[in-house]
Amino acid sequence: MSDPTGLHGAFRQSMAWLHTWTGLFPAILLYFVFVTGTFGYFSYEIDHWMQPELPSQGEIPSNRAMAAIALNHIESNLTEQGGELTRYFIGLPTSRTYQYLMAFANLAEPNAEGERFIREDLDPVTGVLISDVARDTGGGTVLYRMHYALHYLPYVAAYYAVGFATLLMFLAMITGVVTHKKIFVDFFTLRLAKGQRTWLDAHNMTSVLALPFMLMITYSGLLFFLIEYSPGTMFLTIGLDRGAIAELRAHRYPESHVGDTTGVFADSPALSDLIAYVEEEWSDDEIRYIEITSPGEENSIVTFGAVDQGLHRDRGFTVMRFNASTGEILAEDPARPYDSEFYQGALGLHEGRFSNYWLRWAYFASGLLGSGMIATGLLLWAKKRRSLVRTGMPVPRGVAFMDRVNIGIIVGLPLGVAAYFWANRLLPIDLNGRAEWEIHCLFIVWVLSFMHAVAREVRSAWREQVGSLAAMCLLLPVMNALTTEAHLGNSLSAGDWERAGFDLASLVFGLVLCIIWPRLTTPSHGSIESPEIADPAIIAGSSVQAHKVST
Amino acid sequence: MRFGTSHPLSYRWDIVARIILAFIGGLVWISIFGALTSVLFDRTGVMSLVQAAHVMTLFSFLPWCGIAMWVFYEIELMKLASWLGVSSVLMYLVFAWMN
Repeated sequence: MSDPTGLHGAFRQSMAWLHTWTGLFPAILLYFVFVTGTFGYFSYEIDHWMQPELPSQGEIPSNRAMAAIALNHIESNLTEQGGELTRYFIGLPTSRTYQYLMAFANLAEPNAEGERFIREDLDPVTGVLISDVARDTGGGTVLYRMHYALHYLPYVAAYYAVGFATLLMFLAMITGVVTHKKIFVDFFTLRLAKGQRTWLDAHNMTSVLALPFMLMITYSGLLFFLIEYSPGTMFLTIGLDRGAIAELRAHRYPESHVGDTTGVFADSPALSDLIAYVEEEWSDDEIRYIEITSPGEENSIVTFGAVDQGLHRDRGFTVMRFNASTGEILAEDPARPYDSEFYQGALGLHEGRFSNYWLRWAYFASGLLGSGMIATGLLLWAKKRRSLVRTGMPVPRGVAFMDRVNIGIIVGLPLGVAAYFWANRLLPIDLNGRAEWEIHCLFIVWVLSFMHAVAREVRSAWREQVGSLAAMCLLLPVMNALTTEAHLGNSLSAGDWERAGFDLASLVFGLVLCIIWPRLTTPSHGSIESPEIADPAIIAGSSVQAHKVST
Repeated sequence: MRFGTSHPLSYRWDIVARIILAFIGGLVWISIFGALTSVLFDRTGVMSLVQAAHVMTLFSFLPWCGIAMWVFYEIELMKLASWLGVSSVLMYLVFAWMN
């Protein structure tokens, strides 16, 4: 388009300006969200690796045995703690979820702490509380949670900050597509060792390759907090009070069977018989949970849920319900309206819980590409402005600072995550608040990375931090072998691929970083730090010049 | 884009005003647009009010992006504000009348 009447030139130039700033402004937060969210695709596997005391997949007993353990625990221990219970929930370990047994119950009245439910996690073999046998850790679940709830921040503030950043990213992606005239040519173009051009090609390539994923992940990310992020239409039409939200919920999840409390008690068929029936019916699917509403009463309902095989995030197509007093199978819920299907499908796509291992790796790789897109965007921005030195134009203030910040963000965060895994193996098992200290280690190392980047010359800082990250990744399986029995040798021989996969992935990351590392030591036009900007005095001089212009 | 130079204060205020216009003005506009469309769908029997409001909220981020792109393309700030303001008021009046 040749129309020069836009705010920053022609339409495409104006959109390029918008793309730069909507991408740059939230980049740090988005990088954090992408890195931690990418780990979230393997959160259960990371959970498993971070609690080596728990049994491996092969040692897990039958569903009937585990359900009996959990039921017994709920009816004895949880009733003792909470009084009358209105709903039981038993989460079973499966090959694609957590490896512990979850006993969960809703209380008829809030307990002394004001809680309306109690949850306890059990060893699936012995039924002993996990907290008594396994180390206290946040596991992969904490990394996953951090990608939308952050840390050290109130929950509401965190999800609004993440939502704001996500909205800007969505805008940055649309304007990025508008800006790139030859988007498919860009995809096949990577000119190595060409300085700024190389970073632009890398940015374009990672963006275009992951574009469908990125569009899906940002838009569906906004839908998780739909009413919080875009409340206006609801407010003006049906309102935002409790009744309106309940009406919306009933629209999204129409249900035909609700187990209200009647107070009339009845005998129930044995849970083990129902489990046997469901296992036979679902020969290919594993039972993920068992839910019992109004337990012991005549209208009690037992619901079985399978591991999510379908796209939908919730239990829509993987549920079987029984009347608990008669054992009769209940009809499925009524069909949902198409907007609810779309909504659930979008959330399901975002979380990827339906995916098998191959697809989950594809999600993981796309997440890495997304992180790479943000990282190359940050580097490109600084590189572009530093290249002004050659044209004789003043370099904007803050570019030298951004060079340091880029190191702290791009390498510092993965260093922090690696430190989180190391802390899991090195912190004393009986340390008070151990899980929280693991997270503190992540952030302490991240802050140290920023400090190191500020203290050292830019190229040295890159080299030292990438080298440290490579060493931490390569030595993590060694540390695992020195501190636990769940090392690579044992996990491979036991066929425990969740734990073995973690160690192997860590080795692969370490090796990839070892391949990258020598490039950081050789000055070239394609390296992160080009010779023309190696001298901090040049940058300082430019900054002074820029300051003079501005004053 | 003027690299390396300090932008005049008027330019900075112009950008700040556009940011506010894009976020607050854009969100208000899509809310009223969504509400009006929902009521229209409800009245014409296309779908229930709850469903229509849900659908319009689900897709509200797309028109918002369009507004944000327009806000950062159009040169005349007053023209922008007028278009957004007048159309919002008109849509709201129709919505209030229909509701």
